[in-house]
Amino acid sequence: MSEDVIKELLKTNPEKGVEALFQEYYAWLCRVVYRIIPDGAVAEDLVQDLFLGLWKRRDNLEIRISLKAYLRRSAVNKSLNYIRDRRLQFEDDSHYENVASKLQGVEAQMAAAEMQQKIDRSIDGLPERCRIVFVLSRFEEMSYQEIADHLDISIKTVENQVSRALKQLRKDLL
Amino acid sequence: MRKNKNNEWDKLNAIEKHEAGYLWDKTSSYKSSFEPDVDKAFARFQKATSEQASPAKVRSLSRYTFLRVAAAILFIVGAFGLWQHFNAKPPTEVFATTATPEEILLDDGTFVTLNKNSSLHYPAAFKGGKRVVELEGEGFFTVAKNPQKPFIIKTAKTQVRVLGTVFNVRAYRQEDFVEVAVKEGKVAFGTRNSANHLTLTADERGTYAINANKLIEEKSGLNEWGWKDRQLNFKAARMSEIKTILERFFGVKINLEGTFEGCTLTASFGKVKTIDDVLNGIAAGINVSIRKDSPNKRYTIIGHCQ
Repeated sequence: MSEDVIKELLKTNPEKGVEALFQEYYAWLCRVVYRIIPDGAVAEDLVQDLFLGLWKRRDNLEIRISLKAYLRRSAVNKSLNYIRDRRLQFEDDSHYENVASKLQGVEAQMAAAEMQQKIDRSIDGLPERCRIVFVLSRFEEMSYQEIADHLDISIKTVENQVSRALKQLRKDLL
Repeated sequence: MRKNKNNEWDKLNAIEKHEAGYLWDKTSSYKSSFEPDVDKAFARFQKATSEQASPAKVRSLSRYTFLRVAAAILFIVGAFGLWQHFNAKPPTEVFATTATPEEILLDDGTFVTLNKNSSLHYPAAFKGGKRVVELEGEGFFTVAKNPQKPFIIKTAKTQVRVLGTVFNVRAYRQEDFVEVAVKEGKVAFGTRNSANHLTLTADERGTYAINANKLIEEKSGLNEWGWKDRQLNFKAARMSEIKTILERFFGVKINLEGTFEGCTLTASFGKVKTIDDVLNGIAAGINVSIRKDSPNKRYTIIGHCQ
């Protein structure tokens, strides 16, 4: 279903509209969040929360920009707020290793393609801050300045983290 | 290879173009294997929306929902004389509307409905001890509560300072007043360069008359945020009052002719589309007739009240 049709439906028949919205974007938004916060349950909770927020405001919701861009930005903001409020301050780079290895166990069971796993493992293996900086740059098309602002770190740090990530990826994947 | 919008990757590509391109393409599938159960999630969503107490269902996350409007107990911290210090960093992003209102979600969870022909300057992320935005035109603000970080809205001449509340700010450049109407909570409203201010609570309206350099406090009642939901409510309203409300709402000129003594209107209009609908509704309710003068945007209400 096209964006415009969904937008129209949200106005004329919100129940149907939100269902279409769910079918079209829920999984995609979960993946957007999941890339930033590698915890499936949290990702689903945050996206669920995003939809509930939209639903509550359905009567005066006027989205004039692209629906997809709007949803994606909301999801990224939610993720970053979540990280900030949870005080994941990246003080300890090693902390992340545990989450990553736990995650790999789950992922392995999914029997995804070999290369896919290799990529995920390589990125998941990056220290937390490095990984998030990389994800925001690569997937969310945020500038270094935006990333620095959101994570409250310097541009220099952002640059360092991106090149650190690329170095690791080169080693693992090339 | 897909090009990123920002130039950061391009810079890198210049160094190791080939490799970076390869990595760019390869990593595109990162975590793409995550497949949530959409039907299950939708069932959960339906359950949550069918229960009135839906916020409790997501209690672990409710503090992140931007619609979680602050409870009304708010207080104003700090002296207004310190406002000069609040001119910290200039806001960086601009969101502007033209013909229609639009919504914007700020970094802190504050939600703004921006009326047409308005603009809002704001930072990508709020840093430091306060949240500062600049408004030109009209906006309805649902400010995320954060007592540690006051939220400040600057207009050309005035500023509004809050900790978390719901209110409307009207500051169009072509109008000679700035107006703040509060729906919930408490806000401080004053000029940018003086300590004078009004403290406004629910159903109060503050108006700054720019030319007279005067702050006036009144009861609200002009349907100040009606534009947001396209709603108009009149309670025993006199015709002179209705005229003001409609002129504001639709940006038109209305003349009054005839007698309106003893005529008051109590009516609600929802999903308001055009002024003609509203005027016809009024004419159906009380003893007046409507004349539409060409060119458009000129209306006359003729009263036959005794």
